[in-house]
Amino acid sequence: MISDFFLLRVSASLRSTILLLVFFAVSAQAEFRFPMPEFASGYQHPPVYTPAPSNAMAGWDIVVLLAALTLAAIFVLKRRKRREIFLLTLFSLLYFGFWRNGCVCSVGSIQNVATGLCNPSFGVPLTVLIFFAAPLIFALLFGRVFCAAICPLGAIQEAVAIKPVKVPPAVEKVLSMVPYIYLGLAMLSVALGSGFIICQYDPFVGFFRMGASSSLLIVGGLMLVLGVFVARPYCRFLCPYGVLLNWASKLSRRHAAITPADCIQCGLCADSCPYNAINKPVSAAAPENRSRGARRLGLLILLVPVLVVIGAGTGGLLREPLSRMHPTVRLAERIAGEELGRYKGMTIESFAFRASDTPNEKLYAEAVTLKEKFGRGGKWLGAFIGFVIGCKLIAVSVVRKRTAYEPNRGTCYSCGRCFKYCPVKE
Amino acid sequence: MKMAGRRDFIKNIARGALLAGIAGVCGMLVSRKNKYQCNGRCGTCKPGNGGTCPLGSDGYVWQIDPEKCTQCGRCATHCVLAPSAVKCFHSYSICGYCDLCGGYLRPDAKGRNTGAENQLCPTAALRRQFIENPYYQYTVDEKLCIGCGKCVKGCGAFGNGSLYLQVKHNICVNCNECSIARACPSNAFRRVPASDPYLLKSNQERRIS
Amino acid sequence: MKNGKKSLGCFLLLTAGAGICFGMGNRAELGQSFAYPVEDYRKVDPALIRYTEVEGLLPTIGKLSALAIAPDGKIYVGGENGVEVFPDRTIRPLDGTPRCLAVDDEGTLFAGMQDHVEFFSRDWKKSVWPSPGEKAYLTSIAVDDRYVYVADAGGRRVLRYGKPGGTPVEIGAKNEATGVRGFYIPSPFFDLDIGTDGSLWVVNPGYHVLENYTSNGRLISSWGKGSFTIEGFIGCCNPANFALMPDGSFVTAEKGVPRVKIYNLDGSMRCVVAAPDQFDEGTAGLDVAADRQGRIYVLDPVRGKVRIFEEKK
Repeated sequence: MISDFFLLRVSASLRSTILLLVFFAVSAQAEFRFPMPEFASGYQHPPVYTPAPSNAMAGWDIVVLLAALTLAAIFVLKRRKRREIFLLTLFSLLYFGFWRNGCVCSVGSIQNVATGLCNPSFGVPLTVLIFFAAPLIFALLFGRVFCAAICPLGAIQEAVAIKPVKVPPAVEKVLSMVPYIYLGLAMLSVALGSGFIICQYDPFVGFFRMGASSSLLIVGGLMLVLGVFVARPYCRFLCPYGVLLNWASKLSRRHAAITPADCIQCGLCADSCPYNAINKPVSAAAPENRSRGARRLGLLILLVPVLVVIGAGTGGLLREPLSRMHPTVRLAERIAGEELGRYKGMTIESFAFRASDTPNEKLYAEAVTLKEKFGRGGKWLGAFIGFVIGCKLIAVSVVRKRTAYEPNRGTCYSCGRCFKYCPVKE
Repeated sequence: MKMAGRRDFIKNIARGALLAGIAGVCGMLVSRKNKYQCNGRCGTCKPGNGGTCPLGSDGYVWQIDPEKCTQCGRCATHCVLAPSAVKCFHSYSICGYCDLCGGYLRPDAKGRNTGAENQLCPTAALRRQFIENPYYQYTVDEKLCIGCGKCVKGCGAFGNGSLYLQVKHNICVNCNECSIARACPSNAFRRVPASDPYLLKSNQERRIS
Repeated sequence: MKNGKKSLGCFLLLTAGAGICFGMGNRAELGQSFAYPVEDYRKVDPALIRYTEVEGLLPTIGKLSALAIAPDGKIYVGGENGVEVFPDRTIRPLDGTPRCLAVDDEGTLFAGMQDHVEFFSRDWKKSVWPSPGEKAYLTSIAVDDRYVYVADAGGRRVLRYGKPGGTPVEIGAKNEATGVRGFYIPSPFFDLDIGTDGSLWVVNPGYHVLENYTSNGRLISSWGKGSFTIEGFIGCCNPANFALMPDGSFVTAEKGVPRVKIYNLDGSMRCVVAAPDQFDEGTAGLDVAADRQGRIYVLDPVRGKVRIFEEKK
C-alpha cells in the first residue's frame, strides 16, 4: 500500500533519459557525445571505479568440494571416527558457510539445473553443475557423505544438535513427505519462471551472509533453536536436495556400516541415532499370515494409481494459490482489484505497470495463460506426491528380514555418532 | 540366493541409470553455448557466432540497466546486505557541472551551497566542490551512499541524467537469485558477463577497475 | 512421552516461525525522507493557461528535429534526412537530420547539420560551410539581411557569419575585462533569435537568462531567473528553446518539465501556453516558433507532430 505522499514519478526521468539519448542519436551519425566544458584551470575529472567481481574463488570451491567429499568418504568408510567427521563438518561450515556465504550451494543448484533444462537460453556455470553432480555421485558410491560433513546447512545444524530428542516414528514418516512437496513446488516455480524459492526461504543463509530480512533471520534463529532439540530439522523435513540424495544413497555401492564386524544386536546404536535412521533387526518368522500380507501388498499397489489421480485432482484444484507464486499473476490481480475499486491506492509495482506502455488486457492474458500452466503443473505435482505417498505406504508395509542393526541407506546422514556407541571392535 | 542376485542386478541397473541421467544432464548443460541477454557493449561477441556469447558458462553477475531503472528505492531496502551493494555512479562526461544541480539541491533549497538543509541526499553522500566559475564538481562518497536513488531521480528529472545506480561488484555477493532483481518493478536487473560487469552510461570517462 | 511433548513443543515453535516468515514476507519500503515527488512540479494553475491547441500539422517525415517559419509564412519542419515544407508538403532531401533551421527573406534555407552549416538556395542548390571546430555542435541558426548567427553548443559560443560565409566572428566570448561571463551550457540546448531591431537574443541556459547582444557582441541587457516555481526556468539548463513573437515578447520551451510559456518584454511571465500534462512524460527537444498572427507552433518530437496553439478568446 502506498499513500499519495509516496507516489513516485516512475517514468519521467526514465523517459527523459531515453529521449535525450535518442535525441543525440537522431542528430548524430556516429557515437556522439556532447563535449564536456572547457575547464580553464586544467581540471581533470576523477576516475570512475569499476571493481571487477570477486568470483575468482570459484575454481577453488570445486577443488575444496571434491577434496572434502573424498576426505568425508574416507572418514566415514575407512577411519570411522566421529571426531574426525565432526571436525570436517566444522571446516565445511566455516569455508562453505561463512567464508563463501553459503552460495552457490548444492541444495539451490537443483533450481539452476532445472532452469537450464526448461529454458534453452539459460546458462548453468560449470561450478554449479559440479555442486549439483558431485554430491549425488558420491552418494551413489559411498552414501550421504555430503550431508555428513560438507553441506553448510547440515553443518550448522550438526553444530547445534546438542540435546537431541527422538521424534516419534509416525510423525517422522508423515513429515518426511514435506521435502517431496518442497522439491515439487521448487521445480514448478522454476519451470514457470516465478523464481528460486529454495534460495528465498533458505533459513540459514542469513547467518552465512551476515545479512537478511528480519523475518528470515527470525525463522533461521528459530530453526537453530529447534535444531538443538530436534536434530537436523531442515535436513529431515525440508531439504529438497535430500530427496535426490535419498534415492542415490539407497542405490549406493558402499555405505557407512555401524559395526566393523558382526552385529551383536545390543541396540546401543539405535538409541544413539537422533535421526531414527537405524533399522532394527526383524526375525525371520513372519509376524503374520503370508497370504494376508500379500493381499495387503496387492491392495496397496492398486492404491497407487488411485492416489495419483486424487493427487492430480487436488493439485489441479490448487491452481489459484499456486499461481500466486508468480509476480505477473499477483500484479494482474492487483491491477484488476484496483480497477474494480477493491484496493485503495497503488503499490510500486502497479504504479510502475500503469506508467509503462503495456495495456491491461495483455497483462490479464498473460496471467490467464500462467494460471492454466500452474493448473497443469499443479496436476503433475499432485500426481507426483500421490505416487510418493503410495510408494511410502508400500515401503512401510513390506517387512524385509534383517539380522543386524543397519543404517537406513536412504536417510542415514553418515554422521558417525553410532560408531562410538557400537561395542564391537575390530 | 537367486533373490539377492536379482535384487543386486536391479540395483546395478538403477545405479547405472541414475549415473547416466546425471551425466547426461550435466553434459548437455555444459556443452550448451550460452546466450546471455546481450547488452551490446562488451564487444566480445562475433556476428558469426549466431548471437551466442563466447564467454563460456562461468561468470555472470547482476547489474542494473540505467535506462530501465525507475528509482523506486528498493535497491536500498531489498539487498541482502546492509548497506546495499547498489551505489550511485556519476558519469562525468554527461554531467553539466551546474551550480543548480538537480541531483544535489533540494527544490526548496535556501541557497546553492553545501548547507545540509539544502541537500537532497538523505545520507549526504553527494559532495559538491567548486572547480572554477561557474562549474561545480559532484562526487559520490560511496561509504555513505545507500543506493536509494533520490539524487538519480532529481538529476534525471531536472538535469542531464549523469547520476545513475549500479551494482558494485566488490561488495555484491552475487546471489543465485538477486533479491532486488526479484522486487524490481521495472525489470531493470540483468545478468551480465563477469568480464564486463557494468552497464555504464558513458564509456568516455577514465575507468579504474 | 516426555520426548513426544518436547518434539511437539518444538514443532509448534517452528510453525510460529513459519507464520512470522510468511506474515512479514514483504520488506519495508523506504520512508518519507526518501520520497521525492518530482511530479508536483508538473502541476500548473489552469488560470494561467491562456492558449488552446488547434489542429496541428502531421509531417510525413520522421524523427522531427527542427522547426522554422520563413518570413513568407511557410513552415519548414526538419526531420530524418530531409525538410518538409508546409503548406505545400514538399520534401527536400538532406544528407542527414538537421538540428536547426532558418530561412531568410530570399527563401534560402540554412540548416545546422550537427557540426557544420549547409545552405540551400531557392532552387535547392547546396553549399556547405566548413565546420567551425572539432567540438562544434550547432543547435540554432538565425538570419537577417546581413548576418547569419549560429549557436555552437559544443564550443559554448555564438558565431556570426556574413551572408556568403567566410570566417565567423565570435560573439559573447568570456571576457573578464568587459564583464561578459560567457555561455554556460550544460546540455546541448542553446537557442538564439534576432529581434525586430536587429539585436541578437541568446539563451544562457546555465544561468537561466536570456541575453540581448548587439550585432557586434556588446551585451545590452538580460532577464530571467531559475526557480522551481512557474515563473522561473526549472532545472539545470532552461529554457531549451525560445522564439520571438511579432510584438517582441518571448515564447519559451523548457525540458525536464516540458512546458511552453510566454514572457513579456520586461521579463515577467505573461501566461502558460502548454502545461506539462499536455506533453508525454520526459519529452525533450521541443522547438517553438511564432508566426505573424501570433499563433505558436510547437514541434513535439515524441508525438511526431507540430502542434499549434492559439490565444483563447
